Amino acid sequence: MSQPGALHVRRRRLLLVGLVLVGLVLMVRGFQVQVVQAAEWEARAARQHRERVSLPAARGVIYDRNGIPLATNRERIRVAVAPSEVSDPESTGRRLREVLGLDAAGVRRALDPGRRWVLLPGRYEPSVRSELTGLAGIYLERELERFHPHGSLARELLGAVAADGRALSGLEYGLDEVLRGSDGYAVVRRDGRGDPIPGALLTVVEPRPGNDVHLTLDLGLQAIAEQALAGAIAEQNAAGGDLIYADPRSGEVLAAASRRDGRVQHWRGVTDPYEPGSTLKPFVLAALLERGLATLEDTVFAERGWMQRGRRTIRDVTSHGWLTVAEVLQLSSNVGMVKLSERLDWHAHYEVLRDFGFGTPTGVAYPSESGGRLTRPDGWSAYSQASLAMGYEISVTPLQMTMAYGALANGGRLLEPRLVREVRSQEGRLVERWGPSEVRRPVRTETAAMVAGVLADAVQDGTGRQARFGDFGVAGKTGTARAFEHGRYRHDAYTASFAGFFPARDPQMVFLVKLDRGGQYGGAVAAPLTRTTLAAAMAARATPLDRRAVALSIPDPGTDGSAGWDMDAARPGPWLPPAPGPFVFQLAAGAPEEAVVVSERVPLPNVVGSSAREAAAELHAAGYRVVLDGVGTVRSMVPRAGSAAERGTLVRLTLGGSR
Amino acid sequence: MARWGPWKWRGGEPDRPRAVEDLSRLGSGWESGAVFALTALLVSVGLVTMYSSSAVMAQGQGLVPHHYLLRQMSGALLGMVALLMAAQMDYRRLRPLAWPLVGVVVVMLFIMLLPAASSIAPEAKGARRWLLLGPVTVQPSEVAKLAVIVWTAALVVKKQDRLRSLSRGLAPLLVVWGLVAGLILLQPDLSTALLLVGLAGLVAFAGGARPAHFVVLVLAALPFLWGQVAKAGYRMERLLTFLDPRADLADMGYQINQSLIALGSGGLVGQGLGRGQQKFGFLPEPHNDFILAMIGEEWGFLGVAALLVLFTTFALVGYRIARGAADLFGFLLAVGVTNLVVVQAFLHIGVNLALVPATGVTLPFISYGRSSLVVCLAAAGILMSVGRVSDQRGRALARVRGAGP
Repeated sequence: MSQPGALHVRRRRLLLVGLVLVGLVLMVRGFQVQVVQAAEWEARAARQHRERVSLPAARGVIYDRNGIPLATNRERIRVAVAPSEVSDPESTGRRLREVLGLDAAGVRRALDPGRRWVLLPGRYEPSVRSELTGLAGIYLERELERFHPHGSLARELLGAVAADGRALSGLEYGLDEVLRGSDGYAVVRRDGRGDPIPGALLTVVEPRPGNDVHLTLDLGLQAIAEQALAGAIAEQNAAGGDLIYADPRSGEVLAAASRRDGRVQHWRGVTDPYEPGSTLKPFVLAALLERGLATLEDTVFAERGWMQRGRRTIRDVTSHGWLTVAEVLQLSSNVGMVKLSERLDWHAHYEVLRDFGFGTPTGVAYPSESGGRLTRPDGWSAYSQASLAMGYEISVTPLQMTMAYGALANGGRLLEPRLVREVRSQEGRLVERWGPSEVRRPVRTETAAMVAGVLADAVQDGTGRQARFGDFGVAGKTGTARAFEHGRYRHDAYTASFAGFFPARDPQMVFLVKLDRGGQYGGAVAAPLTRTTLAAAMAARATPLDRRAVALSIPDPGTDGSAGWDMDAARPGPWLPPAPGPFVFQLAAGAPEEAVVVSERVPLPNVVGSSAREAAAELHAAGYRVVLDGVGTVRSMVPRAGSAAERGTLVRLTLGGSR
Repeated sequence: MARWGPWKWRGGEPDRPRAVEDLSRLGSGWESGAVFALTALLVSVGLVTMYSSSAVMAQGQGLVPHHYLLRQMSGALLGMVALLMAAQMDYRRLRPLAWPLVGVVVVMLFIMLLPAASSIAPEAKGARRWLLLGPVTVQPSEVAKLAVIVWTAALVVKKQDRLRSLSRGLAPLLVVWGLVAGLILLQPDLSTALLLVGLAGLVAFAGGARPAHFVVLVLAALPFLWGQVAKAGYRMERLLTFLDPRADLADMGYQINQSLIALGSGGLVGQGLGRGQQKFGFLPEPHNDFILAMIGEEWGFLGVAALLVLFTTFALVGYRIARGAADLFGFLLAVGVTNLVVVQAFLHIGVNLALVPATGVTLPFISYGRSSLVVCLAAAGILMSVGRVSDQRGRALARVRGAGP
């Protein structure tokens, strides 16, 4: 039997030493990888094991003042295809064609085997989810899309949101902080193929949904305002226009429409200042009265229609002789107004305009607000005071003018305009609420009341006659400024406007109507538009007008002894469908005895098949309240068409039909 | 030096001055027990790891989570039987079996290459490595490793002094190694073929073959190896990614990177048993070629170090048994089977630690694969047999000495 020799012993030792050395090397290498470099590898492991999945927060809903949603969210499905994972391109392609309506080229692109991931451009109804799940290689992703149940209504105010959830414009942008909420995320473990490992959820930070915003807008009034404005612009062949309704007691904006070149853009009522013309005159009068530099009974000679100041000629449209101060305003005499304004020193003149809010942004929640332009007296020329007296050399935004008239209407308090009433969390908890906020008191209550009285008479007897609204007193002032284009004033085009409030006694609504580059004077254009919308607004029960208070503010109710107030004089203008018969307003229970409750039953008009807006306008005009449910055209109505329904009855319209 | 050559003992005359030393070198009885304990411990670790590493994969393949565990357990049971039988058997009875063993292996490997045998040797992943023999599936290349080690040990003992001559010593060995390795190479399985030649070469080296011959041999084989590597695209990729692991993270470098990510993210103490993430489709073959990475992820550096200590201890004990072997055959057999376990283990760990180009080397006792498990357990049994026989001889010698003058 052979035995191992010394050579074998040496070889054995050599091999053993070699093995132990290799073991040591491996030990060192293990230490290097697992202890020294551990953090680096761990980071790489985390990168490939964990995936942060964004959980987008639902954007807050925007409501009108009555809780009707104006901008909300709806679920959309995006479809992506991984062509390499599609097992049966034939049937998958057919399915895509059927469910998504892709054309042959689209299907080819979606299933192109040369591409790893194809995201289809469309955003689809949630129903495609059930039809496409289970197909190999098809991936669905949920997305929330901004949705406007009332179409383009109030779009210039609401603004837009991009598909990725970024606010682009309007209130969406201005209130983005409130609406946006904060996205949550989940960290999931995933496997080598990138699929999440079931049940391996590491962290979940729930998304915090955005807060809901309740606007001061009234949807019904907004619809009426937009329709009336669009009609007026078309009729007058104007370049555009603005219409604002606000509540002078709270500063709340009730409706605001803006149109330019036939399109809805942004709310130019705060971004585009204009030269106001005669609508600025009441503030000069207020300054004179406030400082005791004039009384309403003072007289001034109107120079028979023209007057020379330096090298400039001041003209009136019609020549007048001696006028009282009130008449100067009511007849809008430029000559009288310039002569009166010369009683003010330049600083007083400047200050009163500044105190009524001109030249300063109002601070409304809408982005990119303009402050207009009001030059300080040290920048004035010799003609500036005369120009300002007539409403030139100054630019104001429609909203500024509305709020300034609001200060005349409410007894001298300049209020901050409000677009947002309150902010509520998604659960309905009140986050913030805003009440009236007074900026300052530019004039005393008595002064404001005096000017308001003159403005009421102006509508009754003066330039604003066409704004007369039956027995409801409307106070206001027309303005006609030459359109300023390319550095010079045009002789054939005007910025026609009418600003005022309603009812003249204890006003509930202040408004401004303005048409750009129309062919007519303010009195002829803007005032009838006001009358039209007010009539429609009165008929719509959902409008914020307190009808009882309106009724009681009428000086002499029921002159003809009838039970209601004949509103025939307020028949809607040419831009709204004519109302069948007289408007009758029902007073709230507990009304004073002399206000007799009237009820009249008439057959409900049939609006099935017409668009939501047409239907609402028709029913509003007939004196009914309307609730909309859905989108599109009217499919059915409750109560049924033709049934005898009391005026003021709530009519529920179910939408969703297609033309 | 040459004086102390092995031929000195021929004729069976006891080695006078060394007789005393021999006594101290003879096993005192604990080595075989240590081998058993180490083996049992490693197999246990393997079974625990098996469930953790293969459950996810099994489910991914539509199997029950414990599919691979059950199969591995059946292999462990069979292997334990093989171990006990080998340990009970006198290893010297293997010497006459050397040629028949190699013969059976060559036949099996040859059958697998026949195109007609595809029904019993199905192709998987581009290679035919398994032979279906009735109810059992055998991986002949695993058996071949042990068979060639036994055969080489037997032949080295037979050749003795002639071993130092290239033509009469090493060349005949090379013929058989080349035949077996060549058949394995045709499967194709380059790394197993290389491993087989390496393990057999180590036995020849321990048996006294000249180092210079090995150098010449390796130099001669280099062009051939380069040709093999360049021929098969994936081998080239493996080599290239080993040279620059960051070159192509997407493909072959991917495996190495995933292995390092698993080990590195395990850190010092690991993620905890069953908590590894890399088995979720990141680590290729987490139950087999990259099981150490998985252990490293779940048990941390402490786990990897413990395994290294276990395998190094296995080497120390195995070589101690070799030192005390009753004869040269036992000595070579002990070195060979110890290497079979330890060299494979270190290779596997080296691959997982990105020190060696990616090869499909399994971790003995732990990686999935019943052929490998049974063969390794049988090898451990042979090692125990060598230890036991030398122990008996030692005790007999001690008795002689005690009774002597």
